[in-house]
Amino acid sequence: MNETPSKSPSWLIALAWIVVALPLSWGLYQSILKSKPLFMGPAVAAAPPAPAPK
Amino acid sequence: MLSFLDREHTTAPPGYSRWLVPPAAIAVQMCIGEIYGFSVFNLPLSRTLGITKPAAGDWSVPTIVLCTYSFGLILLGLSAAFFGKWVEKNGPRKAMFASACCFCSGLVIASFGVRIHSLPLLALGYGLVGGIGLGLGYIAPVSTLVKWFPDRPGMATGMAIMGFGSGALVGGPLGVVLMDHFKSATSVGVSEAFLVMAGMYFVMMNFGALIVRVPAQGWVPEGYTPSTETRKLVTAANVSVDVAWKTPQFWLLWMVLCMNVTAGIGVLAQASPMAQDMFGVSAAAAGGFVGLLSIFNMGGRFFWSSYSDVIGRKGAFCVYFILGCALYLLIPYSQKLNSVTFFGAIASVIISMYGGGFATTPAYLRDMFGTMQVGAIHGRVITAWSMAAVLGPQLVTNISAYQKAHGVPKEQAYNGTMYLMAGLLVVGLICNLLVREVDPKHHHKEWTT
Repeated sequence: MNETPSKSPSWLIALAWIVVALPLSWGLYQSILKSKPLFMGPAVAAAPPAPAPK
Repeated sequence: MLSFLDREHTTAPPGYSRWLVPPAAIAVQMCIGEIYGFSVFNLPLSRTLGITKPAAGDWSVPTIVLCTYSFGLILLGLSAAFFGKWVEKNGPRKAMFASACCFCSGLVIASFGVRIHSLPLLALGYGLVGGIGLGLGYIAPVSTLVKWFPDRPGMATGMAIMGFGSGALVGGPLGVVLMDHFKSATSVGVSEAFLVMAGMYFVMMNFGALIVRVPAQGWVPEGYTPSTETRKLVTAANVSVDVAWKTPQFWLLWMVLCMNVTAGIGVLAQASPMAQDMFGVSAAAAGGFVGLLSIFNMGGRFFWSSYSDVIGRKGAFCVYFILGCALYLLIPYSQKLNSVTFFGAIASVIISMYGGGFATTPAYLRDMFGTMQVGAIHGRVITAWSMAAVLGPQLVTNISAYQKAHGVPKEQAYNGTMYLMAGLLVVGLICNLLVREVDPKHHHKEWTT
């Protein structure tokens, strides 16, 4: 066998992780934004919707 | 023409970095995990004719859930069990490609079904064809990762299965963004969203298929020497899938997974109404609570599975069951205290262990049955998930509905269910404690790791 060992380039490993990390980070950010009302205190979280302007 | 998909063409050359395999697995799992975020389509799908509100002839939400989410998860288990040996034989690249073809063409068929308002086509696309893609994609990278990371199998499978958990975080908001973009006076935007998602997922999944490789025979990580000491419940032998599923260990682990998932999925599926009924929080806050649980569901897969490399798989499941049981019993107490924060903390830990159970299972199977056909064995164990996916939500929904109908205040209507879930975890604990090493008479004779 005359196969020359060649290491996987670092840029390829970084690129592969970036490709999956980008959508994951976006999804995480969206979920944290969505969960914000839960941390706004029970009074605010349970507050009824504001009445429509007359 | 497609011979580059074959197992023999995916063997890694010397110097290939094993750190390319986890992103390949996550790319596939993140896409198929979209099924966890499917609930964002439920309401728009229930008014595809009426557009602004349901009209005569529109589908009901329970019908939509049954034909898509439930049907898809049942097919996930069945196809994982049925195609497990095929996946082992043909390697991860072909399996990931086949998964991409099935999952994405399922979305295209479902898109057409929504457009012409055909429920059978929606079920055929998202449930049947898409479900087969789910099963293939779910088990495809597992045995490959276990072989690449013999030093840290729990962490490796945790990364892949974490990808599936992240599907809800990405797929849910993506679906909302696309529907908002495409909705019009004549369309709720679901059909168009499905089509775009099919294209995006196809590219992403094939990116994973392109970079995945299997290790060469006899490869071990640099500096790693397989332990010569006999570790309890970690075998150096292999058991074939056809023999494995006839052993008591297989069925004990099946029960362990089924009990863990039933308890977790019951809460996950009903988290929003539970938070609203028990604590009177707004629908928006309850939606946020579901988002929070999704984060813990994803994070728990990596954290707990990695931790199982330290304390062992049996020990990890003992933690899930004992701690889980105690936390379920505390939920009614959190309601008495009227503390939504306490409830949120309890539910988050429970859901993290639910995810942890999923991710620890392949490593547990590897410890019990070896690496030879661990993907195929995992495929058969996954049928426990399909069973639990139907059982868990039904238990929570029906018991709480029964209690409400019999005069129990809605804040306390979930207490009985929580005690039942704790009981299920005790059953799981007993099954886990009964797990012993596989009898050597079942070991495969021609292959040793």
